[in-house]
Amino acid sequence: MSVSTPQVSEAPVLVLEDLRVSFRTDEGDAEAVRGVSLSLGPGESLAIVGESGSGKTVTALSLLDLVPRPVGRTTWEALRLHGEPLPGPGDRGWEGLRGRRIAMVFQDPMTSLNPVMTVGDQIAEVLVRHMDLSRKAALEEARNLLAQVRIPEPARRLADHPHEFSGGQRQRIMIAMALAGAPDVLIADEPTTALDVTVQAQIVGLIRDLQRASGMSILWITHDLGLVAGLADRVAVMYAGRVVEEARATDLFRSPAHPYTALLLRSAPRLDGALERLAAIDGQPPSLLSLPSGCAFADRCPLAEARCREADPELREVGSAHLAACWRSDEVARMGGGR
Amino acid sequence: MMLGISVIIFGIIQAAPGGPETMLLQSGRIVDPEVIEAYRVRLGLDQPVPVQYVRWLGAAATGDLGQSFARNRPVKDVIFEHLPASLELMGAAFVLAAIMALLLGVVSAVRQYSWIDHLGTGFSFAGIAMPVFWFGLILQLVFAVRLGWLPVSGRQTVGMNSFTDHAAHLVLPGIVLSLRYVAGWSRYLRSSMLGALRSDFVRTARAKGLSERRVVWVHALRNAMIPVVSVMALDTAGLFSGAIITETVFSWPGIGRLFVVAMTQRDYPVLMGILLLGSLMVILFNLVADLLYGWLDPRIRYE
Repeated sequence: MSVSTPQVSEAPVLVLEDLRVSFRTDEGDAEAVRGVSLSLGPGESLAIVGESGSGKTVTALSLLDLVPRPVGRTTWEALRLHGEPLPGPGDRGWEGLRGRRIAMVFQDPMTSLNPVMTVGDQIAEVLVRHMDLSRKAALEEARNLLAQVRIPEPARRLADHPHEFSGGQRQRIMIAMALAGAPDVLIADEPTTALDVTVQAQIVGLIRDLQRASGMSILWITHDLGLVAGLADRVAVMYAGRVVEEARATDLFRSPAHPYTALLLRSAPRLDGALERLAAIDGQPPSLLSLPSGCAFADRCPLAEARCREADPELREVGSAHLAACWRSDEVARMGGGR
Repeated sequence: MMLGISVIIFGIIQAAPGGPETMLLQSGRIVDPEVIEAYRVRLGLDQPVPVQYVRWLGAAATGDLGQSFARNRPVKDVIFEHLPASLELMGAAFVLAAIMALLLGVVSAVRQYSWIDHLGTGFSFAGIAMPVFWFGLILQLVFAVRLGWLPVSGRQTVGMNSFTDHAAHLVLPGIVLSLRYVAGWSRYLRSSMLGALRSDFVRTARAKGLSERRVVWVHALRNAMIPVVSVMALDTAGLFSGAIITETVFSWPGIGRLFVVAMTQRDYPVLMGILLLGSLMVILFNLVADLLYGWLDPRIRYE
């Protein structure tokens, strides 16, 4: 697959520094995201990978300031789009950016479209809002967008409601809606999880084609490593609210430098290997309500030693454009167990 | 459906002790039994009950609800005479209740647990718990007697026929009749809105950059209204019976008061006519609820 070199030299489109999100619960504050920094180059595909509760979706929602308040508390050091600072969390000015500069496609196309509005109106309202079109012109443009995402007979289907489309088609409509504002950055939050395998490939292919045509940057949020291998330039692995490893996709798959990544790769089925029993990672992720003082992965880590439980390792450079947060990242390659 | 209801109505009326003739007895004079018998024969009350029922039903089916015992006029005319006043009051109460419930329900949901939400909750409890006649009397006392802003009762001041006079008479009974519906509907809408505001498609609408106003009043509200509208349609039929107490308290010359008067006069044909009309309304508004449901929710289609 086309895995282009990340354009490190070019100025990044989106920069996020030190994102922190906590949620108030009855048992105390849950720290969902604990200091995540990201940068996304022009036309680049960055994938955030992690299990449920790792904070990847919350990170994505934060980029649009969509974390619900006052339950969730969001702070960040910096958030810049093309070098310009975006409004702070809860500040005014987000409405003009959402769907226009940064757009998002959500996980479940069955529930993410408004059931009582026609798909034409739902696409057109983005154009009326951001592109200064009349409703009539917007509907005309909505038809073009439906054609772009390969919905057959787009003119006729504008007047249909979401329930009249299949799951894959609904996700195409979500994509058309996201494209309507011609965004610089598209966030795709597990866009294929709710779909059949064959449809998944079509949707991924469609987004890739649209990216090639428009040059937008894409942030993929997923737990599916197989998907990542095919479409991401760079990968950031999240665990318990932190990025624990970040690298070019090829490097990450070839030489993971964090034990969690290594175990995650082993637990994914391989298409080229013989049928083997899949390795599972023992234990549970730590509770976000009471995180250990040391490394959050220490309790499940085969390499854990005394210092891992005392101090949480910072993300540091372990190779060219390769970051990992592990005291013993040099030893991950020789890590035993599994297959 | 209507047939079953007609049997029940007729049965209950028949089961009630006493009849029109007791009115003659109560007049205090000594009445010759022969006179009573003649009276009963004239009204057809000497016939066996099933015969009376079939006669009444046959006539009702053709729109003839019989003669009022007390007024010696066709029941139909008596009812139609009182209907406009009732419809006016019900219409005013409905519009008032719908607007108030909409505002209160949406704002309570958007600002959940704010002072306005708590106020709305308190108001709803009070609105449902408070007896209608008591609330009516309080309003009369405060706004009509003490402050003198509004008329105490009736539909218009004698000798006046202006629109403002008419509207002023409508205010207090309209508020009283709408109270419990504001209370109920705003609660329904609040919980329905809370669900809608948490749904994925509302998050999508926000992610599209739509204004908060459009997200709430278009995307969330249109979905939240679906269950509420059917409740509203069903309750509208109930306005009819709710009007009985309100009309009595405010001497409003509508169906509700006619019903009370007919009851004291044991004017069974009028009572049965009103009950029949009331059940017709219930069935009608059930149909309206179903039709509205299909119109609001595109996932439902009637073939």
